[in-house]
Amino acid sequence: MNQRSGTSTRRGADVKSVEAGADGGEKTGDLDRGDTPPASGRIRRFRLPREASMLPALVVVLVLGSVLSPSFLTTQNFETVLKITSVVGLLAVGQTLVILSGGGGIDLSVGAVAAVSAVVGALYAGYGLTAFIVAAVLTGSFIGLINGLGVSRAFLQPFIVTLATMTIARGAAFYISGGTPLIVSMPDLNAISTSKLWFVPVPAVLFIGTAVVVHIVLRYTVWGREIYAVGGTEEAAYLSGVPVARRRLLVYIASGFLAGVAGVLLASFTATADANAASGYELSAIAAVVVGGTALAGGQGSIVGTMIGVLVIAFTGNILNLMNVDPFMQLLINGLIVLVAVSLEAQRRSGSSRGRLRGLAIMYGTIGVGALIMFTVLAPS
Amino acid sequence: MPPAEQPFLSLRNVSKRYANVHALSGVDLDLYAGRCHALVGENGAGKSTLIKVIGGLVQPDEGTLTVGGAEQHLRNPAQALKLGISVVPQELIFVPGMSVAENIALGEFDGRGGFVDSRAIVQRSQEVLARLGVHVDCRAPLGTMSPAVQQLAMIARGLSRQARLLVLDEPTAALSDQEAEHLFAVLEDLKSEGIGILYVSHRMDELRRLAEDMTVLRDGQLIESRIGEGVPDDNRLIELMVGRSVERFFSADRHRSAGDKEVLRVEGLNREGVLSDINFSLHAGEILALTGLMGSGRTEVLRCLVGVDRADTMKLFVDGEETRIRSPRDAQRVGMMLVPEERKAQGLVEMMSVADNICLPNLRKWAKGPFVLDRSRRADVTDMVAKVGLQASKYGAAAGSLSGGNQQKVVIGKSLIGGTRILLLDEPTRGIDAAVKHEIYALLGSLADEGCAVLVVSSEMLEVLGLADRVIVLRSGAVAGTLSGEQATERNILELAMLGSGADSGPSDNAPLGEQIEGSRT
Repeated sequence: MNQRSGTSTRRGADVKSVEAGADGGEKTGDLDRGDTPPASGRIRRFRLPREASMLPALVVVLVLGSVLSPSFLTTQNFETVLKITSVVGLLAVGQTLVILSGGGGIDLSVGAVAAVSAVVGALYAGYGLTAFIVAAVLTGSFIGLINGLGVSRAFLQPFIVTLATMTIARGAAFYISGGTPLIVSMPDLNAISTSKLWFVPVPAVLFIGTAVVVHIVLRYTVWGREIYAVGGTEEAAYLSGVPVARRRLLVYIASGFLAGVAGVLLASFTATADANAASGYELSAIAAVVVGGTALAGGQGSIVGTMIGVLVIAFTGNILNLMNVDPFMQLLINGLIVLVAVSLEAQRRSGSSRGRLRGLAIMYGTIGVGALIMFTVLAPS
Repeated sequence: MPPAEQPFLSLRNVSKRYANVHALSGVDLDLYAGRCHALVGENGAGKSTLIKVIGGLVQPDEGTLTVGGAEQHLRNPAQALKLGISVVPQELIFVPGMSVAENIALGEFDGRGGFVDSRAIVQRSQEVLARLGVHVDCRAPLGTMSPAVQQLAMIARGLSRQARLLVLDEPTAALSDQEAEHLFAVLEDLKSEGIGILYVSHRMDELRRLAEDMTVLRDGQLIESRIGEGVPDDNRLIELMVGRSVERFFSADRHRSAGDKEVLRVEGLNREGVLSDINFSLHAGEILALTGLMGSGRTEVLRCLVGVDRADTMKLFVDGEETRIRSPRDAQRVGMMLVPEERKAQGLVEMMSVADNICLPNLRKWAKGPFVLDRSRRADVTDMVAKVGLQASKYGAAAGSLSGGNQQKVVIGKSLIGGTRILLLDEPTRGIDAAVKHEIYALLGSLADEGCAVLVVSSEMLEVLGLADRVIVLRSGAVAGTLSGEQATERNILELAMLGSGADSGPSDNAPLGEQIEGSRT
């Protein structure tokens, strides 16, 4: 979109060919549309809102699940899936904020931050649950602050800054915990993971609740709209007087904060604070965001999309589990899902060019060749 | 008649330097409420820098800016907006995916407790847009609107924040005549409401219709300021804009046996919305300049020639033979290379040495099996380093460590080394200091003498005049005329670039333009 505005605004004639409008295509060429009611409402009904572009995929997964396994469509199963996925889900919500804010925004540190937050929290376990949570969440926010300062004030590359803080946080977690997992014997901490609100497990409530709140913030608050503007066309935001640096700073703090919350959940699941925990979760979170249709370039995407991304990945894993598929194979399939999702999204966003279609065909063909080799020559006997 | 009251905004003695270029030196400007002030000058005269100073995007090195009688130091656009200064840049900058209303309200959302009151912003936008005679659905994304609506929405953004001064940079560039008419009516209304307008345009008729006051800049200096006297006739205006002495870059007797052997001919180059029916030919030993105002399609022609952009239609003849060029690689194969505009981004790998950069396009030539050994290429590269006028000691230096001028020499060397016969250069001396500029001009001259065909895209008048044997002037993506020899004067070029072919140019004390134009089809 960003690029598009660049080309489309330069010369008038360009625009007509470039934009297939989001509200159905017809350009509003006339200055005066008179009293015609907005055409968008009528047309939009036939199109999914862009944030839900992956909704069909989720439906397919759910239908497949219920066909393939009798135990899929049970409350019990759904509870388990939501509970397990809540940690990555929280991280993905924070990640969405960061990616939306543009400027190459990404937060690689979240997994390590969750671990160090849990470890720091565990040090204060003696003062009760509140102390544990406050310590963990402050730790997360603090590292988020470092990330945010590096990106928004020192203008460093988000990838590099958060790669560094990822290593630093992991190191800090090992240093503080002395390398061994800290046992946290707090009944009320464990209760977080075992108790339910009505029939929904508390971790899932936390995850979904956070998602709803962040969705509302992004959708309806000044802060949220300005995030979209900063991520969409930074210069436009700056020229309009939006404090770009301050908005970006807060986004990284929020991501760190949510990683802290995720750390609390992790500790409550395992009753330990392990410096090794949550490694690789940042990548799962990014995968979920991408599958959910949020553009890595920023400015486009939504929490709804991320929720769908998280759930697609979670339920696919769940189905494979229920069908007793080799867990190693599950990993492989997760990777494929990401690839397919970004392929579809790229097709949808920039229209299918013949070059891209050929490239996709070649890429998937090559994957097929790899699979063939793996399942024949390299197959473990 | 100059107004009695004091100006809304005044600049006094404003200067701004970039590296070694004086973008503005000692400029004064007075902008009054309820009046339109035309800002005129050639490309590079300092207009955009002046706008940026007023909009708070650039801080001047010297001078004062006074708004409503109080001196101000604008550090960012937000401060300028607060004072009622709203700048609408030529390239509209907005968030295409956000609604019209959100784009208008951006930076100052109506809200309650942090929540955007979307009904209020839609209403506010609708009201402001109605004032501008625009009735569209403010909830639809601005990116889906026509350029005219986008333009007016950007003006609305200023108005909705109580702008007292609107700065418009070429606002009609993307508008049809009818839409432009509408804009003028709107601007007249705004003037009568007491809003001041600073209007930058190359279109004289527009300026004449709208402006009471006018300022002409040339090379960053104030040439003339006319308060209350309107815009003078074309002749006088062009006289004010030009009038620099043209230095000869090399002895005129290089001239120029050009013309006998055509190496490149372009027929019917079209690219929708950018270029229409461009025809020209390029001869061995000739330096041909392609010039025109910003957005006239100069760079686009080059990009189509080397296959970076795909032309809708184009017939290309190399040595009289029709050739298809789909990528820079194809272009290289027929001996045609582009020296791109953005040296650092498109021309060089800054980390690599001068030698590595120079051989980059032709590594295979020196390869022994898979290896490129320094000793096998050394002689060739050393020759090239000398030819483009780099010191031999620079051979192994990192390209990024060189000055801009020397970097450009590296790029030219890189473009030449594969036996290039057709050299295309886009703004070859931008950001290069004067001394090295002349070295590059001399280099291009000697290349032409050796029989290389050189096509230079340039927006610098002196460069075009001093360098070229022949000048093609583009206007709005079409050839406005071709000038050669004596006809290639600053005045003629400007007239073609700004007024097009004769028809709307009014009386001229030169020969009729029609006689100067060789015709677009050579």
